[in-house]
Amino acid sequence: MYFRIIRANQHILIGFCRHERLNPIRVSPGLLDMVCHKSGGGGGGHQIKYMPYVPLCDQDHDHKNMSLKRPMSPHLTVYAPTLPAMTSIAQRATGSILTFYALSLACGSLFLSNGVETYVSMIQSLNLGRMTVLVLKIILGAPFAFHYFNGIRYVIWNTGRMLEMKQVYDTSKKAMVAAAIMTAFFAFI
Amino acid sequence: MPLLRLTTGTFGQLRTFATSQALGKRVKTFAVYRWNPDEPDKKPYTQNYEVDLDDCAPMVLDALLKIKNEIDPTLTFRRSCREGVCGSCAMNIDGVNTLACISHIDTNLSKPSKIYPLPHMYVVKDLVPDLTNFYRQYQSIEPWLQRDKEAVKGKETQLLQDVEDRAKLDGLYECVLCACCSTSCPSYWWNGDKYLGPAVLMQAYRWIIDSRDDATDKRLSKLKDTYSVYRCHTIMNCTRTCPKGLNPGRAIAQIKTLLSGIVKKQPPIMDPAGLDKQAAHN
Repeated sequence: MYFRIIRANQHILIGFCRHERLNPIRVSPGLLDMVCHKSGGGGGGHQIKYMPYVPLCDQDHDHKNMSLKRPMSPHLTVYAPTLPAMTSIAQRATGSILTFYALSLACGSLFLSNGVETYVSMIQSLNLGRMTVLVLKIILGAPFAFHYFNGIRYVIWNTGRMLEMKQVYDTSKKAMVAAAIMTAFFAFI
Repeated sequence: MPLLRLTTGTFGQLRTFATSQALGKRVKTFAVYRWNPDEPDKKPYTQNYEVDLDDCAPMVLDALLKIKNEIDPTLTFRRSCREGVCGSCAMNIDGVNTLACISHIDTNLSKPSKIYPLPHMYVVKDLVPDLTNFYRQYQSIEPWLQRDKEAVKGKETQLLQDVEDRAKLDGLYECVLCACCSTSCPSYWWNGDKYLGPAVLMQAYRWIIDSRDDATDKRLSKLKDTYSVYRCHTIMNCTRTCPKGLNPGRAIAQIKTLLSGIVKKQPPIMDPAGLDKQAAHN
């Protein structure tokens, strides 16, 4: 009798899975493989009947967790910033800026009727102060300098070298110093 | 003799007197992430617990166990070996993923120790994340030795491997799959469904370079897509956080060199099936 009850429950469970894709209930496969019937007459012994294997109603990892309303543990807000991670994100940012430079220069020479040079001479004719020009040059030059020297690290890494943690920190500092020197050089020419 | 017995406890008493009165209690606050699946609509929150460090063993796991035993039995976390071997108690402690059992409690009492579950994972309860996806990814790299000619059961012979070839596995096989590195990786946060993550990739590399494994090409071709390996941008959070001191970042870079063909897998120094052939010869 007890097994019949189990069997009835199984049907309910299978029903759940078939009808509702998002239902969190997952049936254990072992429970489905084999079902025992105890004959009602008594003394008849056990009769074992094998059921066909019903594959698990496999749910997408995200769907299952969302249907259970599980929260996502905090990530960006709690993880301590590290120097290698910061250089990585800075590489991404400066790369985007350089793409913007390249695109705007290319579009400028393509579509502007007077060419880019006219606008450069227009800025020159504004007679900006020395400091303002210096700051503008630093802002324009720093992304290139950083991206260039930090990019060298990535090239070395892609050959599988310099990937000890100490070397990673060391090279990131060196890249930053080199970038600072190059930016200064850009600013004063 | 009675005099000696009388005086034995004195210094001990003096010491307790000195620590408890002069120094005061060393009470450390732990801010622990809480979420209860029985109240799914209640937002996750951090709960503060105060632990006397003089009455607690030195590791963060000891403090958590003390909290669970003496203050709040509902606090839920995974733990098993308490010595950095099993990888169960991986969590984010003061902003860095590590094993609670082998990280010392920060003795700076002025600010609380913040304890969160592994980042960007679905939370089952409190500090217990759902690692199903992680394990499924591990399964996908087929982490077992594969031979062209599988041994017949009952007639297995030992596979040979040179000491030098064996040394290549050092720093790879020690991984306990605690998921600290994978969950520290921003790429894995954003693409965890398709990018395999540092832990799994390091194990992939462990089987790729094993001199006894014949499935190298199959393993590599399986990784040849834009997501599985190439979402690694060498951020190196993985290597920095690894509680076992391993270097998953380098392992991924080495997979990349193999994938691009810069480096080729060396043929085994010793023929793995040497004993088998010798037996057939005799």
